[in-house]
Amino acid sequence: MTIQRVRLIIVALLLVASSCMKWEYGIEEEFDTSASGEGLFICNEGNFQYGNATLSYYDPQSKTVQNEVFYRANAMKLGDVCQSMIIRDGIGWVVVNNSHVVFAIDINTFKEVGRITNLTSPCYIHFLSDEKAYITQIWDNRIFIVNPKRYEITGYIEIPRMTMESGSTEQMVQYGKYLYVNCWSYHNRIIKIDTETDTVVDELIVGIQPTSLVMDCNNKLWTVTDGGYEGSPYGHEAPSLYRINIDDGKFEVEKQFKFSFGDWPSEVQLNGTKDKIYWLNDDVWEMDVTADRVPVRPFLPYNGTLYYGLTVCPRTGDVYIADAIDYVQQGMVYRYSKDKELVDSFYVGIIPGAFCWK
Amino acid sequence: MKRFLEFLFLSVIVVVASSCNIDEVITTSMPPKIYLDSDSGIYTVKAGREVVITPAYENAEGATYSWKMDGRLIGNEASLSFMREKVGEYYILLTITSNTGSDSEEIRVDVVEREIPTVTIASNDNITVALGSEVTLNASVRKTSLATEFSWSINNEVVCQEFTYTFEANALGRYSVTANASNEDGEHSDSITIEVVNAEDMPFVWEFDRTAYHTVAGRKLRITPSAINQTTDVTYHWSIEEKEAAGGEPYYTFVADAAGEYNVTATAVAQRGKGEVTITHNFVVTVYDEGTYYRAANGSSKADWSKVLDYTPAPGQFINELKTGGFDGTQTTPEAAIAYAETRMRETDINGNPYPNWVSLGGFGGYIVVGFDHSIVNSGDYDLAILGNSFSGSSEPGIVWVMQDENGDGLPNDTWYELAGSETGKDTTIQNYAVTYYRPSGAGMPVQWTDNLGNSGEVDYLTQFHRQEYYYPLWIEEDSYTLTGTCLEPRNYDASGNGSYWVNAEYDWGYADNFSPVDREGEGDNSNAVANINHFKISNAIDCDCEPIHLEFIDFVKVQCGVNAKSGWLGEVSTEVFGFYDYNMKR
Repeated sequence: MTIQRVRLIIVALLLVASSCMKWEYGIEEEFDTSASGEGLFICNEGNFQYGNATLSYYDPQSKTVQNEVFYRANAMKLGDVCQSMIIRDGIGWVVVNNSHVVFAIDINTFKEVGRITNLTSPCYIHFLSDEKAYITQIWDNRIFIVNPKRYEITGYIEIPRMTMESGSTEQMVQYGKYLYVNCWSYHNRIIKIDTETDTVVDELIVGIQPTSLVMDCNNKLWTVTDGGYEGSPYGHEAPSLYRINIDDGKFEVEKQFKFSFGDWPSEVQLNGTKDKIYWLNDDVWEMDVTADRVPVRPFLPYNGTLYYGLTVCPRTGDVYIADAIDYVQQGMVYRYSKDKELVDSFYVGIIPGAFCWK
Repeated sequence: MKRFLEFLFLSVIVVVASSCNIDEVITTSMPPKIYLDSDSGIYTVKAGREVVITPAYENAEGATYSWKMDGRLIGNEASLSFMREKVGEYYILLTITSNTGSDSEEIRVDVVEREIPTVTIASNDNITVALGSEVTLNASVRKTSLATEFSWSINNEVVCQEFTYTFEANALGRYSVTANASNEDGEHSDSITIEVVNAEDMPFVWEFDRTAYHTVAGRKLRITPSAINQTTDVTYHWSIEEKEAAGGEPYYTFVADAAGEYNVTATAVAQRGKGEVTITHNFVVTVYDEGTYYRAANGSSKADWSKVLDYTPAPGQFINELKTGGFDGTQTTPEAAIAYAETRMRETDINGNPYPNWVSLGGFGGYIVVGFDHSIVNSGDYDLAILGNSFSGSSEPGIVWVMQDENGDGLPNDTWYELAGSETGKDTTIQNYAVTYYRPSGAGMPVQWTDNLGNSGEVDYLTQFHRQEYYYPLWIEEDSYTLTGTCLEPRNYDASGNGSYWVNAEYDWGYADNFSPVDREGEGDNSNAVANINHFKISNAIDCDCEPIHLEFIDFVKVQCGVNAKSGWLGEVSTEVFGFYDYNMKR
């Protein structure tokens, strides 16, 4: 069995899993975190098809964590595979992949204020305006265009050279009127979308399966490939980290940092000033965005566990690492200062994978 | 090097450009700079071999160099020769200093093991075969990044360079058969001995692993040899209390109507040319009355399993695995393996509520045995519940067996009865299928197997996902072990056609870890994550002839992986279980 390969299984099973979420209800609990100011949401994927995704909330000041806040605030389970979350104007948008839904919640009370449904298998949401957002999907060759105010799907962007079966669009970064999206599962490209015409206007070929996408202080895009896996029909290669130039209408690889064959890097993140990038590759790594080579010494060495998510506090530079442990029990988040001192650690939900800063 | 050349090019430009300015005095006040001869700053070298690190330098006139490791100076030249016998990562700080400044670079030297190939022959160490017969041998070699040569040799003479070799026993004698693999880092070989004898000199093997049996009055007890190597030209005689019993098979089906102790004698006479070989075995069979050791449930009885009595998985990707598999490297005895399985299935969540974890049974034949604090009654309806992790498109069926504690000793040393499932009796279902697994010679290798139908194969080593050294259970002392059970026809298939998407399709009913439309708890496709439980009826028990048998109750349950298959990159099909309970108590 392949318990570890959660995301890959998700890809595989969406073919056959025509699921129909049934919400389970409990007793509503009142929250008000408006006074705490800074806060960190943790998206806990949960086990695929177990409907045990949860949302956790951490207060860095008091070092306190509240788990299952969505369920507790709404008396309703979050669903199956909580993939990502962003915040816009006091509203948190929580993407629940295998429940085919994006919930809108009040970020202080965690109460649901709306939801976008009938999505195929949403991964990430990106706002272009108050009334227009894109939602990327896996196992769908379209990016959904939605009106967040009305919680409605308003259109689609069809991705060239992508079938429903091989569909995989992931993280989004906007630069001017253009939006860049990494195409991950069984793909090797970053696509460029004109947000005025909602069409794909360009693409950049990188290595096999780019997993992340961010933009640094110099307006350079960064992505990292996982290189596929042994036996994959799509190929298996040494993964790479890419610095991509998008200035002046260009769309080209500026620098490729090659990893060893068999490495599996992921989770490229930025610090608050966007002049350092971080990623996971067994260890936690840190590098200046202008560096010519990857450091030889990791920021935090591998400790024999299973790092699955990563974020850096935009204000303090503290590094938060999500440990999925064994993909079954409740995960753990470790908080390190930028000087590599362990500041705190706390249990969250099952398979913590993504973070969102309040 | 490329950067250094760029630097030289730029330097030339600077000199040419500066040469036009004849009125100014050109001074070199630029600090020194290091240009490593490795793009990554990482140098990889085999243990015991030397690497020479030769950076290029800019503005290095009159400079001094220091190479420090853990604060200790290990070199003061422009280049460094480095060698270590111990595998590991070595961090070295290079500093160049001149009167115009200094520059530093941290480098890393990865000292890695030599990639000596390791070869394993899937066979016992000594084989005796009859003149004129053939033996097909398979070998596997641990992958390395280096070009590797492979060969078979007999008595030091190379005879084949394929991984499969057929030995032809054309002449009497003793042969040393060696599989050898070599590359630039070294070589490794594995050898077996094949003795070729005349057919009449072949040793006659007819062995049993027990001398004492027990059963219940009126029930069949199959006394079966654990090893046999000849089925023709042999006459078998069985007697009970010195009275000749019917049948002339190498096994005997014992039935007694009344409780008591019975002496059984078995004799085999094998023809050997002009002579014959006779083997005699004596057994004692104790017969109990039905229900002698029935343990009724009471107020303190718990529905859940109470103890794990045996955990013997087949090799698999989660066996010995330190992350998701939950092993910690100390499971080197059967007792420790049992403790591991118990701990996994007794896990709780952060609030102390039961939150059982899965236990993998590995490939075909791997099994787990649990007991209860009471006897589970045959209600005629569902009596047992077994938790698995099947979902739509992922069924890894486990055959369920039940046993009564006939002799009341609390141990599962009685008779196993299979619970029939939807595949029972079909031509595609193989009873008494046996697979022998062979311990790999080195870490990181697949596990080879052969079966009792003449097939062979490997449990793949999945480097990408599970990198524990061995998939062969660490607590199995023998270099090979055989697992016997019922084997279903695999239902896995590559739905994508290109190997990317594998489906392990479900079976109708009667198997653990099976997304059954009949006996699984929950509705629809289980997308809302109802606990994935399969239910079983003791009334479906069948005996050694696949005939129904009535058991009033049972005390032990065994789940055994019932498919010998692998699904591409997903690896071997392996049953997983989370727990067992008496369904009658939770109905």
